Order: sequence, then C-alpha cells, then structure tokens
Amino acid sequence: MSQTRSASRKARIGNIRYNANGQADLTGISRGANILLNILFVCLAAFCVIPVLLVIVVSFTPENVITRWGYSFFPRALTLYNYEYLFMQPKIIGQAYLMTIFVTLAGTTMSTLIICLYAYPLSRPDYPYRKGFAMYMFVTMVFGGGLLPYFIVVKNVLNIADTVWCLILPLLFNAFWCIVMRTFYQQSVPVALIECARLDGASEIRTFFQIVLPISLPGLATVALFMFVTYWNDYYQAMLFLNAQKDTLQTMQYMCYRALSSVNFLRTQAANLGMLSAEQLASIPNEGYRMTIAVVTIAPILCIYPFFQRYFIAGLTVGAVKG
Amino acid sequence: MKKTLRWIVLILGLVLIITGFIGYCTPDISMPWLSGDPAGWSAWEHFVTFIAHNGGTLMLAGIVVILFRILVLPFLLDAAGTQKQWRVFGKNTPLTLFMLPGSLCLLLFNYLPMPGIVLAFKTFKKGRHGVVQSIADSAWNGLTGFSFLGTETVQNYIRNTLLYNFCWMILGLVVAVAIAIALSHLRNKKSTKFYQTFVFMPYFLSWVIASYLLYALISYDKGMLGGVMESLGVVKSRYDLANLYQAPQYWPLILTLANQWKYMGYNSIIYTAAISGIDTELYEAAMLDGAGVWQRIRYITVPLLKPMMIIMTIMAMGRMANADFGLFYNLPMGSGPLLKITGVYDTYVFNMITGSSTTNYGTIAATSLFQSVLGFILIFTSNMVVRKISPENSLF
Repeated sequence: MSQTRSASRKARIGNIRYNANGQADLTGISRGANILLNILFVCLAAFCVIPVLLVIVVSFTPENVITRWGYSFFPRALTLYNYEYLFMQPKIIGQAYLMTIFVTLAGTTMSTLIICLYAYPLSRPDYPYRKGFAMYMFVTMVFGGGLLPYFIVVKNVLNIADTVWCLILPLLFNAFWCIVMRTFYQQSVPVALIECARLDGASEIRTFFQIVLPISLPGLATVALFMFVTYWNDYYQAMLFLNAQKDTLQTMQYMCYRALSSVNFLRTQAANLGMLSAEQLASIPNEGYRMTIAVVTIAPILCIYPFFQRYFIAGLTVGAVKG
Repeated sequence: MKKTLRWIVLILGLVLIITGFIGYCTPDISMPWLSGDPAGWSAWEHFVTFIAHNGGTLMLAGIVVILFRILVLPFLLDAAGTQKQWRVFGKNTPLTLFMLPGSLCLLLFNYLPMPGIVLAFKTFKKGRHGVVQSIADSAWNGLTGFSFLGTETVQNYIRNTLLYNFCWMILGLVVAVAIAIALSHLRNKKSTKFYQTFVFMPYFLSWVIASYLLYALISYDKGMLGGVMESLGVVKSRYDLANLYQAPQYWPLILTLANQWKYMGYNSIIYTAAISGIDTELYEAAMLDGAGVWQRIRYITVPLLKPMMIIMTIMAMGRMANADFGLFYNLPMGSGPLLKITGVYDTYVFNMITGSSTTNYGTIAATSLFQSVLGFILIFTSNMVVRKISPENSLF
C-alpha cells in the first residue's frame, strides 16, 4: 500500500521519506506539523526577544511621547535625542563605562589565566596532589560560610571594599569552569604529547604555554567568554561593597540598578557633577534616557553573542559531561 | 613510642572537644557560686566556671589539635617517609605553582569566611579593636541566635525559596526537554540554529537589565501591557489597570515567566547536545518498522535522555536552598506589598546586611548558616544519589 503511494510522490520505505538526494528524512514529521512547530518557535523566540526590542524602541522615543502614551512598540514619534544627549554629556556615564570595561578586561584576563592554570594539573594523571587540590575546590562548591562572614572578610579583613579590587577579586575563581576546563584538557591533550615534550627536555611551564594552551584554545575561549559575561553583568559585588555616596567606582550595571530604583537618580548624578544649570537639569530626558543607558549597557554583549554562541554551547556541553 | 604519641594527641583533641561541648551547654544557673565572691570559690568551682565560660573556645582548640594530628604529626614522626615525600614534592613544584593563584583565591574568598560561622553562636558586641577581634571577644550564647526560625516572616521566606525552586525545577525540566525534542524535529537544520540563538540570548542579560524590560512591559502608567490592552479594548484606559507592582497575586506567574525566559534556552542546550548524540540508526530502524513521531519520542528519545534528566534534576535539587538573588531582588524593585510573595532567603539576608547596624550580626550569621547547612545537606545527598546512578557524573 505504501509502496504504491511512494511511487507517485517521493521514495518511501516504512515510515522513512527520502529526499531528492536520497538522504533519509529522520525528523519524519509532516509538512503541516513542521509549519506548526515553526510557528511555535517563532512565538518562543518572540517571547525572548520582544522585551529587548521594546527597550531599544523606547530609547528612541521622545520624552513627551512616553509621558503621554507610555512605552510602546510603535511610538508616535522617534528621536535620536537620548543618544545625542548621551554623547553631549559623556561625563554622566563615561566614568561608569570605562570602569566596566576596565573591570571586565582585567577580571577576564586574570580569571581565565587562573582557571586554566588550576585546571591543568588536575587533568594530569601523574600529578600526585591532584585529588587533594580537587577536594580543596569541591569543598567550596558544597559549603560556604554564608553571606555575612564573606562580607566581613572582604570589608574588614582584606579591607578592599570601596576599591576596584572588590569588583574583580571575589569573582576570579570559578569552580564550575575549572571543571569544564579540566575535562577539556583531558579530552583534547593526549598524555603521550606531554610525555614527548618532557623527553625533548621542555620544562613544565614551557609545555603548558607552548603546547597545551594552543591545543586547548577553544576551551580557553569558552572560559574567557563566560568570564567576560560574568564580569560585564555583575552588579552584586557593587551592591554589597560600594558606597552609594561615592560614584567614581560604579559600573554600568550598578548604575542601571540605581537609575531604576530612584526616579531622579540621573538628575542627581548630573547635578553632583556640577556641570549643569537648573533648567538644563530639568530638561534631562529621564524615562527614555534610562532605557538608553540600559541599551548601551547590553549592546556589547548583544554584539558579540551571535558570533561566539557556538563556543558558549560547546563549553556547556563539555560541562554537562562532568559537573 | 610514636604510636603512643599519636594516640595521646588524638585523645587530647577529643577531650578538649567533649569538655568544651559540656561547658558550652552548661547554663550559668547551674553554678550557684557565681553570685558570690570569686575569692571564696574552691578550685573545682574555678575550674567549672572556666570551662562553662570558654566552651566554644575549647571546642575550637580541640578541632585545631585534631587537624594537627591528621595533617602535621605524620610528617614530623616519620623522617624517612617525609624525605621521600619532599622529593616527590620537589619534582612537582612547577605544577604545584600553577595551583597557587587559584588556591589563594579560594582561600581568601571561600575558606577565610568559614570560621565566621562562629558568629551564629555568639552575641556580637562591637569592641574597639576592629570587627574580627570583636567577634573573638563576643560572648557565646548557644542556640539563641536561631530563634528567628520560629518567626512567621522567616518561615515564609524559607517556604518561598523551596517552593519556587521546586516548581521551577520540574517546569524547567519539562520545558527544556520539550524545546530540545521539538528543535530536533524541525525539518530545516538551519532554522534549528536560528531559533536556538534567540532562545539562548536572555541568559546573557543580567537581572538588572531584565528588571528594565519588565518595567517597560508592566509599569503602571507607562507599561506596554496597559497600552496594548487599551488599544485592544480590554480596558477603557490604561489607568484602569491595576498597578502590578502592588498586586502580589500576579507575581508567581510573572516570576515563573521571567525564570523561564532567562533559563529555558540555557537548560535545553544540554538536552539538544544529548539528542544529537543519539545514533540515527535507532530512528531509522524504528521508522522502518513503522513507528510514528510520538512513538519514536516516547520509546527512543525520552528513554535515552532519561539519565541526563535524572542527573540534572538531582543537581537542581542540590541548589534548592539557594534562590536566584537577582530575580527576586531586582524584578519586584523592592515593592513592599509584594514581599510576602517575592521575598526569599537570599534577599532577606542581603537586606539585613546592607540595611542594618552591626548589632544583630549574630542573627544574620545564624540565618545564613542555616541556609548553608540546608544547602550542604541537599547537595551531599543529591550527589550521593548521582554517584549511585552514574558515577561519572557525580561531583565528588
């Protein structure tokens, strides 16, 4: 029965359809179901993207339109004023932006190096203290002293609250990515290769930097990208340790948080910098400007994300195997 | 001789811990001589008073002695063995040096806070010599710091934390597996990548940014929701709509949607990878036998994903004591009326630390210790279960 039908359409054996090239179509769902599935996924993608698009549109909406009509996808007017204003008064977010970039770059470089260094001996079967150091790391994943002792240590013992270091140092080591990196070494660096390097007289340090690291570049890229996102998105350390009266250290995320929690934050901020007259202050576009700042904050992440997505996915897949 | 010494040190440590514990549990009321003049006390009375008042310190000393017995003493006693150990150590110095920066980070930010747990059993009194000395000087007060567990607010926070996490664990599993299976059935493989890109994207936005997005959608007078409902004619004017930031009944739904918005793509990636690892011959064979789509999902895909699903669920169970701080702190924007629904353990502790004076440090520490211990028990049991099911996926 199915044989006769297949003769009129495509080749078909059992439930398998074959396409023109003779490859089996193993998804095996009908055209209608495929369209339905696609519609579902378009909805799902829209659910994920629409809020972001909305904020981007709002950042192009003039203040009076927002006040009258609210946030909308199709505003009655569009303007570039919010962005012009951003560049006309670079001081307001300039400092925070530079701070974010510095913290992110310094933090990403240091933490990637530290994680790669810690993970390497863990992957070496001939390293005698492997188990001890692994346990030393696992304990911290399982048990912690709690937020208050941590707060006291950073603030009173190490004494780094209200400095750049409180934004960088606490996030340096990440046990999860250390495990991912170790698994990556185990999968991509053959033990024989390290053995050869040793026989040729290379020191451990040279072996690591000239042989092991170049081979594990994809793993390194994954860790670096995730640490980049971690540092760029971090506001928790800033909320805990930065003094709200001192604005010089704040990062973009922290500034976004403060701008949303108090309506007049941006005006106060501009007034504190002491560069504007009273009427200039009153004319600061508040609602749209806030959204503009949010857009400027997520722009770098959104820009790099599509290109590095496969690294993110590869890293997570490795991580799932162990950890 | 060496063996005797080992035993003596071990027993000393144990005696210190036990005496310390007894002293720690001895209330002042059982020592009637305390009200009298210390000069008139007998030696025994002096001794008992000392132990009762320094119980915690004695216990700590006992722990230090035991650690010394385990970590240091073997090296001191066995000279030849030690020499060999040093040779191995010297040979591996470069690799050990690699471990140094990471170990230092862990020491400073993970291990150094751990002794701070003692705060939970003390009444914090700020002295003149800094916070750390003050902690050491503060008096032990037993378990009174944990009395907060009886208050209704805290019970509500604990309930919220566990309940939200439990529901999202199950919902997250179902949604993630459904997305992964659906993605694998799309006919055009290019569109699979395309959709995955969009669904995974929210994971890279912080909760602060998410709170902007939510604000733009549902804020009272300007939110898009109001505008849309107005133009659809559901409400006459967007000002008629309730202010969602004051209406707790909607927030379980909002938080759930926000949680899924951020994590469904992330969660589904692992399952997508697992599905792409399934041997296509299985499907081919099933289809030759005439299996339909649902039958293939039910009898091939799901059974093969099952181990991964079990492990992911158990891992999530281990994290159940910790709420997603940003989700509960940033999205409700500190709105008071929502606190009963959106308040969780992590935000409660955070608010206590950033908002209060140092006087109730003891309570705060007890609060976080309770959470740490709960988390520890959850992770430990779940890991033990994982080790039973599939040893290569266990954490330790």
